[in-house]
Amino acid sequence: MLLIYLIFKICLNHDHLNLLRTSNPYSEGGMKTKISVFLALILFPALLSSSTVAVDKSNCMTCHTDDSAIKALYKPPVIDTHAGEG
Amino acid sequence: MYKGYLVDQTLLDTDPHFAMGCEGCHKGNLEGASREEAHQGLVKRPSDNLETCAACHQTITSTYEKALHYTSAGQRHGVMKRFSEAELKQFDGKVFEQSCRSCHASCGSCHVKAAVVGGISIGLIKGHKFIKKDEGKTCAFCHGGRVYPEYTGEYGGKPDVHYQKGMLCMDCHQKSDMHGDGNTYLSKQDVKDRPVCTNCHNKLGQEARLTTRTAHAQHRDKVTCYGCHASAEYRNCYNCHKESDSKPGFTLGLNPRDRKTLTTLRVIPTVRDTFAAAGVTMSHFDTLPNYWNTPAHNIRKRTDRTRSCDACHTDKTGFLTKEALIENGSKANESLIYPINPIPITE
Repeated sequence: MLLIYLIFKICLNHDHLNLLRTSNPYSEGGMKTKISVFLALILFPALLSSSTVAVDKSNCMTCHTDDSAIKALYKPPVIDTHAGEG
Repeated sequence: MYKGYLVDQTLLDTDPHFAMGCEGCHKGNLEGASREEAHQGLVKRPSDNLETCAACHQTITSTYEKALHYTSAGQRHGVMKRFSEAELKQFDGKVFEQSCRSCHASCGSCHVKAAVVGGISIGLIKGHKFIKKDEGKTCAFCHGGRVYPEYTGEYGGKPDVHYQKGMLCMDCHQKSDMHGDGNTYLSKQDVKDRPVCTNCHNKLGQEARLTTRTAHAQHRDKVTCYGCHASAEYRNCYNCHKESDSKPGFTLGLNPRDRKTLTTLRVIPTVRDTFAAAGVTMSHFDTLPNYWNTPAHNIRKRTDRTRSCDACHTDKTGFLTKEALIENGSKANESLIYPINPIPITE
C-alpha cells in the first residue's frame, strides 16, 4: 500500500507527470507520463493480488484443487485384507 | 475417496506451510504434463523424514524421534522374548522394518493426512490444512480395530461413559504421550505419566455411597478399574498375518505383567506360526502368553460386576478357565487363570 501511495504522490507532485490532473494525457509530460501511468496500472493489480504467503502456482495445484480433475485421475486402492489394525 | 486428495485452495493464501510450494516438501516433477510425469520422484509422506518438519518444529521433532508412535519399538519389544538371539536378528531383518515399522506414524499422519490402514485412507483430513488434532480421523484410523469402536460404542456395546461426556482421546492421552518426552522407551508400559483413572478419580475413600466405598477399599490393588468397570465385550484378535479372525469376548484373569492383579485380558493375534512365512520361528513362544492385560475402552460407572458381588464371586462370569483357553496357545496362558473364591460368610 505504501508503494501505491508513493506512485500516486509522484504522479501528482511532478508537473511533467500531470496525467492525473488533466483530461488530455498528451498535453504535457509526454512519454514519462505514459510510463508512470503504465507502471501504476501494472502495479495495482499485482499488489492487490499478493498474499501473506507465496502461492503455489505449480502444476500440482491445477489438479489438486479441481474436483473433477482429481475424480478423473483417482485410482482406487488395492485393499489388503491382511494388514494389521490396532 | 478421491476427495481425500483435494487441497483447499484458500489455504494457499493463509497457511505459511505452503510458502515453499508443494515441491518444497513433496518434490515431484513440476514440469510433468501427466499424472505419472508430475509424480516422478514424488515424496508421498514428507514427514517420514523428521528433518522436513524440524526446520521449524525442532523441539517437537527432537523428542518425537524417540516416541513410540515413531519408533514402533513397542511392537518389537512385545514379541522379542519369544525369539532366540538368532531368531531376533532374522526378525529384525525380515519383518520389523518391512512390516511393523511400516505402521509408524509420521507427523503428517496425525496433522495432515490420515494413515493408510489395510490399503484404505480417508486422505487429507481437512484439505491439507495442518490441524492440531482430529481424533476421529487420526487416532481412530490406526486404533479403529479395537479401541476406538469400543470407545464410541460402534463395536456393539454401550459407548464409554467418557465418550458420552464429550471426551476424546487427547483428553486423557496427553500431547507429551504422542510427541514423546525425549526418553527412549521400549514399551508404552514404561512411559511416565501415562493416563491413569486416578488422575481424575482421585477421591477414593470419600465416595458418597457406603457400598461403593467398601467395594473400592476391598478391591484396591487387587483388581484394576477395568476389572469392574469395563462394561461389555471387546474385540479379541486371532491368527494375525494368516486368516485373521476377530471375535467379541470378555476375559478376566491375572495381569501377565505382575501375575497378581485381576484385570481384563485380551487375546493378542500372535500365534505359533505368525512369522513362519518370513522363516522366523519362535523357539521361546511359550515364554509369553496369548492374553495380555488390556485397558478396555468401554468404561461405565455401573456394570454387571459393580451391581452384584455374585457376578464374580458366585457366577464367575468372564473368568479365564482352563477349558476356555485358546487351542494350541502358549503354555504361559494357564498361569493367568485366577482362582476366584466365594465371599466367606462370617457371623
